Amino acid sequence: MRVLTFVKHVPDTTGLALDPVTGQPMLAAAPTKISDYDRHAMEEAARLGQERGAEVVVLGVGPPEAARTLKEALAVGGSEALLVAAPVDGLVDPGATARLLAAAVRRYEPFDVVLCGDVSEDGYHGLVPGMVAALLGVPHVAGVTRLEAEDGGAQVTRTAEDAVETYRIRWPAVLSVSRAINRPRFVTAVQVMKVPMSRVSVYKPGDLGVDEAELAAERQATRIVGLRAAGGRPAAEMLTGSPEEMVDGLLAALARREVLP
Amino acid sequence: VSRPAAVVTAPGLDVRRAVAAIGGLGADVVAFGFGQGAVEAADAAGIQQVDVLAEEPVAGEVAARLLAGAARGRDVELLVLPAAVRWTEVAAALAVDLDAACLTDVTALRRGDDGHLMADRYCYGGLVTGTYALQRPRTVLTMAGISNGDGVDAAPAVGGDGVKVLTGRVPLEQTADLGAARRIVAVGRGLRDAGDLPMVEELADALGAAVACTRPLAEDLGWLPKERQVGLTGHTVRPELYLALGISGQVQHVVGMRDSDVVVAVNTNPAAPIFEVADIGAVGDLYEIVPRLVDALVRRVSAHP
Repeated sequence: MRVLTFVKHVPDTTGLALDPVTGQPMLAAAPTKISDYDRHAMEEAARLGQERGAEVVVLGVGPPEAARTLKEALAVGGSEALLVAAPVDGLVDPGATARLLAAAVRRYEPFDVVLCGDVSEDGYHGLVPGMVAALLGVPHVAGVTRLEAEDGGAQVTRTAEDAVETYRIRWPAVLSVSRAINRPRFVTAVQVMKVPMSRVSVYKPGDLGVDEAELAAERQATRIVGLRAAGGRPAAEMLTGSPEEMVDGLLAALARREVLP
Repeated sequence: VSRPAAVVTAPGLDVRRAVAAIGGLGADVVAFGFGQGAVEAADAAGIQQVDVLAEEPVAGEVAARLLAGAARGRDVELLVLPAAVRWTEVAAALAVDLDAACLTDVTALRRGDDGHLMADRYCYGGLVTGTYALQRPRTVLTMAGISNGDGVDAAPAVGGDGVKVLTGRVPLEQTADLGAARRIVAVGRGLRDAGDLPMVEELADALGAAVACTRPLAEDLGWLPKERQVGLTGHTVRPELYLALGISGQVQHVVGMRDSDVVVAVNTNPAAPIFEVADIGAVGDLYEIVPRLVDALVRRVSAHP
């Protein structure tokens, strides 16, 4: 059995600050990490490795520093990793990411299942898993909370908005996992350090047969043209005084805004 | 002549927000309907032209194929789907089929100077609003605020070749419909004990509000069910009134509530970031304020029955 995982190297949003003058996120100064959702996918892949003797291969798209995140994934489980070096400045269009990942997957055909997080922590589209599945012509299930592998496929449980659904899937398939699927193990810096860099190969898009000019045009056609601090409400009306006075002030303010029943 | 925009409708789906967002683009709006009741859902949003693509709910893979055909048939510039798990699966497959630009959870739409579509959505955990320029012949979007559990249905069995077969569906117990609530009372780690929840529920009753919570209360402590969780990994809500009690206002929570009309924050910490997204703030202990607020609301009702 061969399991492929997608792992993304992302800015740590909890350490991302906004420039006090321009309001722009200071991405270059933010610490980076493995996208949390992908840790759950890695944990599930490692479990399949242990329980079913699956070979686990880690795939990613990102800047050269992303090799560190792929090493972290290998410390959880997996024999080798492939990083597609993309000229990355901030977020990459999900369509372009999916094309690169699908090209990387094709190097490892035949595979049984691709496991990845439902969304990435930075872009939060949730599109890449379904796009890769469509490009490869295989089924996709999102929001997976339970995976029971069997010969040639799996029983999969997922939560959509209003229901818990179970599916019987025949491999090959793409499964994107919810954070509810497991509790990912903690790997130490020493464990990550012990993974030799030789186990991470770096490929350019062209090495995988992706036309780099086409890719650049695709990225240009779905691009971020501006980032600004979200929120932007005027300063709050602060209530003062004793609890009683604050309650009186609150009721008056709510009545004025016509939001009381 | 501008090309039309299409909105997916299904029974029970409220697509008025999508129609409003498209309103400024100068495009005709058509509905692509799924299931009986899709026509009524389109009517409710003021869409006259409805193409019913399937009389019964269909599997996501089938929906993607039908939508791709309909999009080509009417040469639509833009397709808007609900922001929900099943429709996001459809959007991804549809975007590949149509070779379209695709974004999810879009909050606003407009045209750029060159006539192309521009869309806003949150990124980086909700800290930042990103503006995207979309310059492909077609665009597929999912839009925040038009999802509805009942409306996004799939077929009882999918995949004629047996590669993906739905073998069971258990509806989740829906005691809370946060998406439809006009008022929400939300509580965070400022609540010291699960035993204090009745105090919060009493306030919600007095306000005619639904009770919601932050991630720690649902996921870590289990004091309230996950269906009441607001934020990045929970619901996105836009009520008329959002009363945040003992919520610090981490961005992962704020992203789920900041488009509410009026936000009230009660927190003991004057530096809590929740005050930055509040319209009305009270630096104080929810244990002192909530019971007095309940009393005052009850008095108000008895004075103005």
